[in-house]
Amino acid sequence: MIKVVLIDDEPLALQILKEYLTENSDFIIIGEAHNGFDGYKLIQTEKPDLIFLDVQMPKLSGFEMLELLDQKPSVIFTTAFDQYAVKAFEYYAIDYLLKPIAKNRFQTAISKFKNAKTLNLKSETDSESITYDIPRDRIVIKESGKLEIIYFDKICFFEANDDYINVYTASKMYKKKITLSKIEQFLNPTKFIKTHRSYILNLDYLKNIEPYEKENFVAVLITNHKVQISKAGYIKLKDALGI
Amino acid sequence: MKNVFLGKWQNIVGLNFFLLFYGFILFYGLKNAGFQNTFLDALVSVLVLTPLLIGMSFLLYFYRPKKDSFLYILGLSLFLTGLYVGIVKSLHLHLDFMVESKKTLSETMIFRWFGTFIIFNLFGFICFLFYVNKEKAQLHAHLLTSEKLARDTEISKLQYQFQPHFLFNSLNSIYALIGSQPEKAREMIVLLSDFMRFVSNKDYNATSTLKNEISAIEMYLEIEKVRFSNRLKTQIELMPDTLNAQIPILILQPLVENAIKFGLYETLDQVEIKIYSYLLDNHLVVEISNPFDISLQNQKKGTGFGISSVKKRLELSYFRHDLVKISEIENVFKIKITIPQV
Repeated sequence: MIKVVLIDDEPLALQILKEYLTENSDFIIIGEAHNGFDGYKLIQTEKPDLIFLDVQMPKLSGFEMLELLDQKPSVIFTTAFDQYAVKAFEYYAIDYLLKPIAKNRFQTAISKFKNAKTLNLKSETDSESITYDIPRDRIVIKESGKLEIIYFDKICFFEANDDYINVYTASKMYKKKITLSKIEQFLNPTKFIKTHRSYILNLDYLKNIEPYEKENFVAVLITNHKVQISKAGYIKLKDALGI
Repeated sequence: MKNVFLGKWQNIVGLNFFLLFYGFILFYGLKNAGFQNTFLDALVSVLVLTPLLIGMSFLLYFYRPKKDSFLYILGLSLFLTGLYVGIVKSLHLHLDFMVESKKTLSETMIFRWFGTFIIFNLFGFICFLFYVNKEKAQLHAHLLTSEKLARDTEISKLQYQFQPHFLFNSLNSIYALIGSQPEKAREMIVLLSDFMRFVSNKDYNATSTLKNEISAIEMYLEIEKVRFSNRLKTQIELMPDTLNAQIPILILQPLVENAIKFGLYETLDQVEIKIYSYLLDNHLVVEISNPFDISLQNQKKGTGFGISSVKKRLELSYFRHDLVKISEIENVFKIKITIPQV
């Protein structure tokens, strides 16, 4: 039996998926969720083989939820937004169904899943290959079992830390598994300046720039954090500040 | 022709009577030449003067120098006075019935020169000012229409953007209902059709009644209630005297969609969206409020195109910047818009 989880915030949308799935006797629905948070918890506990996932949902979007999962099930996206299709396939989605979903289109997605399974293709997200073509204003971080949504304008600076980055807000530091160059792609370049190989700084939090050692500088933030500035970073910073 | 001579032909007739009277008094008083002679003399003078004055007004209508207009009119008057005196002189010499007044011609010559010169000058300046003012008024009217045109274009650029995902998600709900509750599906199709008809092909610079606008919003909210299985509650309270108040078309719809986006799409629990309307000092006030998720971004910050376009439209339509007010108290977002009533 193939274990399936359905995630959508509209009950009637779930109803159609359930209707279609009951006609495929080798599938069993083990749970449903109405938002990304509940979906995340359900997948962690139930470990389904396949999920049907809506993109636009309260709290946590479908994409944000997927990024948080260490072990990702196979995914079939169901949404009314066709502009997400390219991104969906970067997550190695099995298929991408546009609402309203026709029955034969649904069956095609099911056969695609079965084929992928017999070929033993694993649906895994290679986070390095993802391009962030959809503008974002926040990241989601797992913090001791809890999920935290952090908006970019609350972030003072990012610090590289091997495969991870340290994300500093005024009050706290978070760790996220992503590289600094990746996160740079979806930050607003007029606000976030890469002042150093290992640092990206939010200009809104900059207090002043102080000389440091011989020819170098260091940025002091209003939170009193100090952020290193390289020679190239100093030029970028001056450009951004218009001095 | 109407515009050429001080606007109206009656003015010429009036002017002629005045001149006739003037000439009559002048000659009769001066030389005591007899009523008939004086009258004939004045009549001839006026008949000569009139075409010259009309000619002058034509000239000033078609050509007014930007600089030295004073000298221009003075020179023109001098030239026309010379022309007038020349013509009158030769008429006196050649017309049989004028022979009598020939005797007094040299004595009255100084008055003819001086008086006519003054008449041409006065007339010239009046014409000049009249045409300059007329031109200014036309320019002003032209500016006003082009300004209005620009404003209308700007307003139509802020046109309500129908959200396609709303249509597709609604169709998806109907698709599901067809299997389980066909009657409900039919209802939804009618609601959706009526709503779509309402939001398409609108003259964006027109106004409508509040009653009308709210009826579309009710359809929209009804559809959302079906989609989200009654997670949505609404409370619409309109004061009876506001029902026929005038309001720009589709100005409330983006605000209600904004309330739905933050209140319904971005939250998990049951939500209630409230719409109130009342009149205050001849202004219609509409308040729309929704709860939002405090743990997410402030709604104020993420207002986006919806609220800013409504603000811009009201500014362009009413030349006021104080018509949209936003407040956030605890987890309730409230937007209040004020529409001046004529």
